[in-house]
Amino acid sequence: MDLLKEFITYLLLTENLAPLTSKAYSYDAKIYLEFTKQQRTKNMSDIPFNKKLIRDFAAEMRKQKQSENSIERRLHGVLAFWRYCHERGVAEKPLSFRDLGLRIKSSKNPVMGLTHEEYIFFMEKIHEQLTYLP
Amino acid sequence: MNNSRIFPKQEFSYLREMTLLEIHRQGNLSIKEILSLKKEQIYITENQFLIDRIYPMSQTEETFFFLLTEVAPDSKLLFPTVSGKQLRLGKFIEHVNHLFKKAKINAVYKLQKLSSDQMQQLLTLQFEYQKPRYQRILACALMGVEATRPSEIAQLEKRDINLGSETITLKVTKSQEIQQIPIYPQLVPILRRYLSHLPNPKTPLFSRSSGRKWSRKNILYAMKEFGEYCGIHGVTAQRMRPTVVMELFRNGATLEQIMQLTRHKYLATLLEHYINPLKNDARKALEHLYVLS
Repeated sequence: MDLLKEFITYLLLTENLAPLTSKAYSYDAKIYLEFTKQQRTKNMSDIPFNKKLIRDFAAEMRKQKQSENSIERRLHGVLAFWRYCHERGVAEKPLSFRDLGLRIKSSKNPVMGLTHEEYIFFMEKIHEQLTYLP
Repeated sequence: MNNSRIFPKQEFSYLREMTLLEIHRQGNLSIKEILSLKKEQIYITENQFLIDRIYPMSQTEETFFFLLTEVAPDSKLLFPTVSGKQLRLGKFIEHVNHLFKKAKINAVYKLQKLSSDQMQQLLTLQFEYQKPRYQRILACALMGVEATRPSEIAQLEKRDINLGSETITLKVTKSQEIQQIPIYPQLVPILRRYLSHLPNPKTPLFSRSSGRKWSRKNILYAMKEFGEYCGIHGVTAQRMRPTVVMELFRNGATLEQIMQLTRHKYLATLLEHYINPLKNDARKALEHLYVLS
């Protein structure tokens, strides 16, 4: 899809995002387009961006049991895509994340470290073995 | 747990044969007699030879006796099989002949005493046999002090380690930029020893038996297995990065120093994902407020 390729370039050069983030956002946009395609055939018009649609998209992801962090990231990708489409003149003025009115319960610290005691014991075991190596 | 991943059978067998051959070479005991020696006999004074040979031990012998306590702790024998049973003479001869072939020694082993040259030739195989364990521990050590991501460590090559400036160049990073981190001082001599065995600058630091570079998954497995060996539940490579950050922070490192090591562009990321758990230490902080006592 040319639009998505151009979107990556836009993210890299205009929004100055990292390559992997740009790629991920582009993938989010692709998923969103697929979702809206299904929706549009049912009862929606051709406009792929509006508050209700994006809230439905979030609900769909929750139905698929995606984590809150993934949903949040994906929505940021979609909003970036909306901004891009707006700048190209093919979409209305985009909403901000806050305007969506979605409640995301993201876990800010998904990975907990070892306790101090566990860490010291682990490193002592490593040290013990390193002394026997050639 | 099964220790065979942490302590590979091949390494144990190689070190056992090397220790056994050296004792045979220097003393008056026959191979058959050595094979039936028991652990307790190391301390019997009438067996003067063994005591003399084992103290001081060579690095090979020392490693073998360390592995013996891990691989066959319950065996009463000094040179058992990996399952702790009596090693049969035929199996021993067969294995030594296999080592001869690998070390390109043009002779057939028939229980004769080996020459010093032959022992030296056999010792050239030592790194090959010890590498599987060595690289796992080294990977765990790097993860345990450098606060790196698993994929960054997996892709390292010999040329990425600069012992002169004591830095590691990370080429495969999350930001896809080449980044440098300082080497933990105690790891420098260990890495120097390890690198001396790697033939050329492009040789992967960690490789599979096929010679291919490790993937991120190999690091994850290595950490998980070593954590299980230590008896610590849920050790993962991913948990090591926040662990190191927290340890550094507790030991007084500044946020700027930690950011340099973790290579975060924004302080907010570091605070949000790594330093946050330290909020649990709030009670401890209050305990140090010596008032009203």
